[in-house]
Amino acid sequence: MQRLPTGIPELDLVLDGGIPAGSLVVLAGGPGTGKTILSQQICFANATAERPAIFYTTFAEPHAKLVRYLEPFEFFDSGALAERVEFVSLESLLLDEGGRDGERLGPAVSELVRACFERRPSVVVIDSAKALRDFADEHAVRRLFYDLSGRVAHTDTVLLFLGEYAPAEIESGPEFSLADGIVQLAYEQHEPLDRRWLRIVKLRGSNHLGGRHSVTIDRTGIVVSPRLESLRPPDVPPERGRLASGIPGLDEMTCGGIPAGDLTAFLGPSGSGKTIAALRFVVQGLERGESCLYVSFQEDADQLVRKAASFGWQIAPALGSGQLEIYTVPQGVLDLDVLGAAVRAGLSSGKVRRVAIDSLAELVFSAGEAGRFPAYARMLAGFIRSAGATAVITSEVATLGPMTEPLGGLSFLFHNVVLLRYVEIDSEMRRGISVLKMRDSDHEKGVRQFEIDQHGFVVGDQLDGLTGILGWSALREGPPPPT
Amino acid sequence: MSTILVVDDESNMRFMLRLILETAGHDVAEAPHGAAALAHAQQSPPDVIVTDLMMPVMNGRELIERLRADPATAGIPIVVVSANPRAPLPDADARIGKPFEPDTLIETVRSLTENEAA
Repeated sequence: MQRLPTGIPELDLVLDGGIPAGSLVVLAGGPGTGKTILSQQICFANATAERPAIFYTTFAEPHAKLVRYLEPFEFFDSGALAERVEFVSLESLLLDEGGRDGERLGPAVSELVRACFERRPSVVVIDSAKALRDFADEHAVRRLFYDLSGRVAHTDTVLLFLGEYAPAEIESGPEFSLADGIVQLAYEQHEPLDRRWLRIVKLRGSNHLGGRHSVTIDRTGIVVSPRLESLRPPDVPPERGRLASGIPGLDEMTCGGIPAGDLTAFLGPSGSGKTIAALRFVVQGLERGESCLYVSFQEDADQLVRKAASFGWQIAPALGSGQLEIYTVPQGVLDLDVLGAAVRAGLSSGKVRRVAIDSLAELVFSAGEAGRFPAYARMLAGFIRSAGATAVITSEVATLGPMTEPLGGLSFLFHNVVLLRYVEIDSEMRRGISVLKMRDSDHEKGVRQFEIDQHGFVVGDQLDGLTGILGWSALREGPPPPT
Repeated sequence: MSTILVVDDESNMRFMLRLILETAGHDVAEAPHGAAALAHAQQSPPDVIVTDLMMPVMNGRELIERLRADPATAGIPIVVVSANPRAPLPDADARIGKPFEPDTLIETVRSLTENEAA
């Protein structure tokens, strides 16, 4: 089946390759959901001198305003107007050639069909299709859709009908029963920031991706981040072997290093050294000539370069050469799918061998989507593994008191878990490191002391003679001190 | 004063053009698309036609082509008011980009009507 690309590669992924040629698709959603921008982006992406795009308005904004609001977008090309992309009003045909309801939409249908056969446009947009109800009853609107879908189906033009339809209308409106595709767009309140999303309710002849897909709008136009759980990572054989963590002593504790392809969590309270451990893991890879991806929620690239330099690790050259990519999650963009898309984009070269995500708990809790996190994390791990990469993820646990189960009991998602703890020994605060679990591998069961000095993370000897480290505090065994 | 035929698919734009041109003392007739404009021009040729490009039924390009092909209308001066001032239009006498200043339109129409009179 021939398909029309939308100009948004991630949306094409959601649509199983694009919009089927010759189909009638309704873009339904309230004000501010991005319908108009999306349709215009599709127009500019596909319009050529031979196959123009025609944007019909009923009683939407004046064309001058439409164009003015389009100008900031990178996809907009003023030279295409009247050449490849046309804005045409149906107003006169709807108003001036009235008759009985059943006939009132006839001139508009004739114009659309004429344009499709004579001009052979790649895309025709009607904004707003819902406004057609202002000119005719439901029977006439149904007839319009029936006529258009029947006549335009003989061409390969894609018809996009835009409308401010409420979700309930999607279930009952005549437009939707006759449409080949329905794309629902929404803008919903969400803390700390409101969100946009889209969902493919229906797309005939397509194995589209289900669920809500995040939508953001920036200078490039509509950006779609597919719901990570709806994707399927490529099926590739798992990596074998171990990766040196770069942390002296830790590889002994893990009996040979971090298993390739695994998702390893560094859990610890604030200030315990999680970021340094993740950074060292990446630096180790860079020193071995590997490409790496670092996803950071708190520190930007400059801050990470300075932090690494304070331990004598020079990552700026790798950043400059592209061997290292640092993706800083923008403040306020706390969206699991935006992160998923960034990680997938970072892995798309197929060269990345190490991934660090610092930190995941911050994202999960701030995004307010803890309920979907198990499936999400499995899929994220699947994409990292299928790309031939190995990941470490940091996550925060309580600083004081009994250690609660990290991430609300979700530590089972990680193949390996390394725990960093503050311990109190002789009224002095020290640090302890232990390997809580490793999948299919032996590992040290003891707790070792570790320090952070000018060279980074230094793992020392086992903390013998202590108990209770995983609970409230370290307790020295033996006779009580003399009184 | 002259008779101007304003051709645009948006009623608000026709209203604006009529207001500007009538204020300048012209008589204004309207058409919502190229086909209606062509019929009007053939029946009662105006002194100047001010037309949009992107319209239903018949667009501005085809309107200009058809006007130039008919000896009865071939000599009518045509001003194109378009969102793309770079669009190639060899048969138009003048073009104005949207948005435009009213004085620009008035001056453009004036120069064309004066040329016709000369």
